[in-house]
Amino acid sequence: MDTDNLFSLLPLTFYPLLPDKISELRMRVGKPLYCFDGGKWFFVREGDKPYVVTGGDVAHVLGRASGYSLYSVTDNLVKGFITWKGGIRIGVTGECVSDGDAVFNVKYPTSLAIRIPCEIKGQADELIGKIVEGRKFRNTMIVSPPAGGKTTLLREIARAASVKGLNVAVIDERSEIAAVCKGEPTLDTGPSCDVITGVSKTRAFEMLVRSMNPDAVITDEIYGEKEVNAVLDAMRAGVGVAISVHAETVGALKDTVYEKLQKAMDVTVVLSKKKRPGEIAEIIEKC
Amino acid sequence: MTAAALTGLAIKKSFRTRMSVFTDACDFCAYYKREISSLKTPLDEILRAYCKEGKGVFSGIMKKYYAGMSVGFCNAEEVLSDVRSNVLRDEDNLIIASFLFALGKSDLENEITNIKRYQDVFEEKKRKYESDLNKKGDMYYKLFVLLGITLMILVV
Repeated sequence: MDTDNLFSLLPLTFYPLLPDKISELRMRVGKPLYCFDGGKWFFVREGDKPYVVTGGDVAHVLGRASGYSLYSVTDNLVKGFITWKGGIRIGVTGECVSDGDAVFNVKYPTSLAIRIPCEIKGQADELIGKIVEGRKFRNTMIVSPPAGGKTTLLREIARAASVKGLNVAVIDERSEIAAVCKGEPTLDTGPSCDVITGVSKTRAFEMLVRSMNPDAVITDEIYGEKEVNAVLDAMRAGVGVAISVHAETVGALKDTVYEKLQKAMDVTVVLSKKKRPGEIAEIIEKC
Repeated sequence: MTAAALTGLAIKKSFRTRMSVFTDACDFCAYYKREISSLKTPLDEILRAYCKEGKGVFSGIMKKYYAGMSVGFCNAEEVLSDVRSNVLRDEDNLIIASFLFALGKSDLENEITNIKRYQDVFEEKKRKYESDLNKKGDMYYKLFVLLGITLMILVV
């Protein structure tokens, strides 16, 4: 857990209040600071009272994360997030400026969900035997509820496949898998891995398949029909994929756009966070 | 006489300094516009690079602004209290403070439009001080030398 990067993002007043181990922080203007240490959620206390988050605290975090320049993060902000060093993702909500479905800006950001990524090296070592056969990468889907450990597992799959010598390409739309900072991955994705970031998944799939000749493309959180079609298109082109979708179980994908995608997969890994995030509940292999 | 001549020179120098501040401000606008339009480089990176290489009064102002940026400014007046320069007039200080306060506050399209607007204002200021330097600078210098000579004759 990269607390150095986290503390460089937060207001100075937070330093003495926070524990050493933090997985997630919730900042809501006028509400107590809420923290998850990997085991339990608790309100951060200042003396005997909970610390109440101010508008200035939220503005400070957004200012730091954007390099004090709204123009550099507007594209991500309207999708609801900004990424900070080390793959820290800051989810942003508040009063948005929109026209129909198109969001132009977040006028008054009032809530932030700050999530710190963790690296669990070796997490995919057992799984990789089912996914990589020689130079063939079997199409894999990870099914997990939010905060279930999808991204960590995908990063490990990328690293393990890369170590096995496959040319792996990671589409890191939210800079969470590889935590790219100034073009360079700051989290380990292995020796033969290319990372594309700052571009939509649909566009990135096209760019990678047509220009990078990857053995496998790995990406996180497939959402909506466009992205499903982009994945199916890459699979049709003969590229192996490893993707993740949000769901509690495979059954929950029934009658959704993700059902046909799941049916096309060679391996489906279901994660559960009942005991701990990243726990593999089920592996479904296509015969 | 020497004191009067030096006063004349100081006035001339102040016109030159003001002109150079607005020349540098125009150059910064061009640099900023170039950095954000193609690369969307964040403001703190732009300022860090600019302050590293820049010299002169404008660069000094930018250094003060960059130093206070992490604490944050609530309005242009707060910026003004941090970056005020004695060589500039109050209205010039305020324009620069407003410019700095507006940096990075809008999306790309509006940011570029704002920068163009400020660049035009700075160009106009630059032309004004250039003309002041050419016309009034020499005039003040000669006037103070003459004043010095007159005082010297009167004393003698």
